[in-house]
Amino acid sequence: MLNGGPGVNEATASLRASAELARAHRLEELSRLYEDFGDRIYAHVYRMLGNRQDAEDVTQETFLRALKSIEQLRQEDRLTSWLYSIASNLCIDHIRRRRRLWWLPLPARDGDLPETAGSDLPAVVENGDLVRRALRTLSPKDALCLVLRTAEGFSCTEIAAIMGCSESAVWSRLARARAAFSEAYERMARDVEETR
Amino acid sequence: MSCPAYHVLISRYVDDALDEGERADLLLHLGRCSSCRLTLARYRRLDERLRQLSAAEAPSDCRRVLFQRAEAERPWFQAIAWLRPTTLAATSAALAVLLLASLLLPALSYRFPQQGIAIHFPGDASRQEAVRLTLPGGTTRVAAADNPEITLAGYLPPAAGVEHVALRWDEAAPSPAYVQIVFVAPHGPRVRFERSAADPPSAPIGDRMPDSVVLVHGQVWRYTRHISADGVEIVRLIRSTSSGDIISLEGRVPLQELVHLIEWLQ
Repeated sequence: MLNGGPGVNEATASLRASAELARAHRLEELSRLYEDFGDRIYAHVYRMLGNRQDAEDVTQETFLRALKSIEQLRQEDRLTSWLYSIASNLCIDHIRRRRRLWWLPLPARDGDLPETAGSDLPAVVENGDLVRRALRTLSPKDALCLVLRTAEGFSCTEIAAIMGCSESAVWSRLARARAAFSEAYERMARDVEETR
Repeated sequence: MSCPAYHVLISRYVDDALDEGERADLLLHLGRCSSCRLTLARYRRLDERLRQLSAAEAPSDCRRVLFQRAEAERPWFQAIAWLRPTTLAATSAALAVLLLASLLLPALSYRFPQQGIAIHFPGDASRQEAVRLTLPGGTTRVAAADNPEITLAGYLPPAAGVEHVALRWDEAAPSPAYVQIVFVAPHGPRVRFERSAADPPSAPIGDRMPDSVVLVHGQVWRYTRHISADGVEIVRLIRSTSSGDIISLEGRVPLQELVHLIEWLQ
């Protein structure tokens, strides 16, 4: 299908050369982005999704989308909030799509289970899993706002830029999220105690 | 101002975002209201728990897979520049079916751990993504447009092993009515995966199935099913460990999928 006369072959060679240059530039840009932000974005996505495979997939998708539209980013100093915005929107889409499937992490063997002493809950149940389960009761945007503020340490101004809303909207959402998270966490912690 | 209104101020107080007047007003209220003092303490304690929310490091092959995906999604003119005519011909041919892989429900990621291949149905998501295949060495996305026929969102290199994808999508359905994927599993035969929306319901609405026991990798799990208020069957596996913990897996999925999850986690 690509066979033809000398003119066609020259055009093909020129096309390939241009494509190779574009490819090299593209990969260089991707490498720079990932080196600078890969770990942070992965950490953020993992906090939101709580699943390594999903976190890998969404992280990769974040950088692929960023690469496609990075020419549209006019201000270099907005790069962080822009990337977090892409990642956060992908996390929200993912959370909304997936069916509810909860589990507690299983050890490889029964002997690996953490020791429980008296009224102390195992660390894995008390902290990480209860936190994640309580976060899941929030709307995805409320959970995102809370995680960006508490776990990631972003300021209200930065969160507003990431979420594309006003600062007053961020404060309102944080207040709502804290109240809902607090209620859910306390309720779940009581439920865990009662099933022991 | 009522206590719920003060909760909004308490949230901003935790973030050190009150002006002098608001701060004074809140501190005056906290001096009189034990309930709000408990709320403040609770917010601070839970903020600390959230700060400890574990963040994992990106796995070492995340970068490699990312670049493979970037290569696979290169613009069409670059893809054509690298194609050989024989490759195009071979890719477009329909191939014979050898095996039936499995049947899945929507909004489920199914992984073949031995083969490293996963098929994901986003379920009630937008029509832009009907099926996503995660193959060894990268992820390739296949999208279905509003047309009932197949649409490939990107060029699928033959090395990925996907040889043919067919989708049929009914307008009213939240997921494809019919999916067929033929691909070559690494070190294995060609695999046909099929899913049809014509599957009969597995349990009558309103009935609760009797509990039973499932043995998975030598562990005894109690298995229950019930129908939710919206008519969806919910499957649950519960196990009590030797140290007294209760572990529960639950989902709107067939039992076999939960069993596979247990196997993945082992």
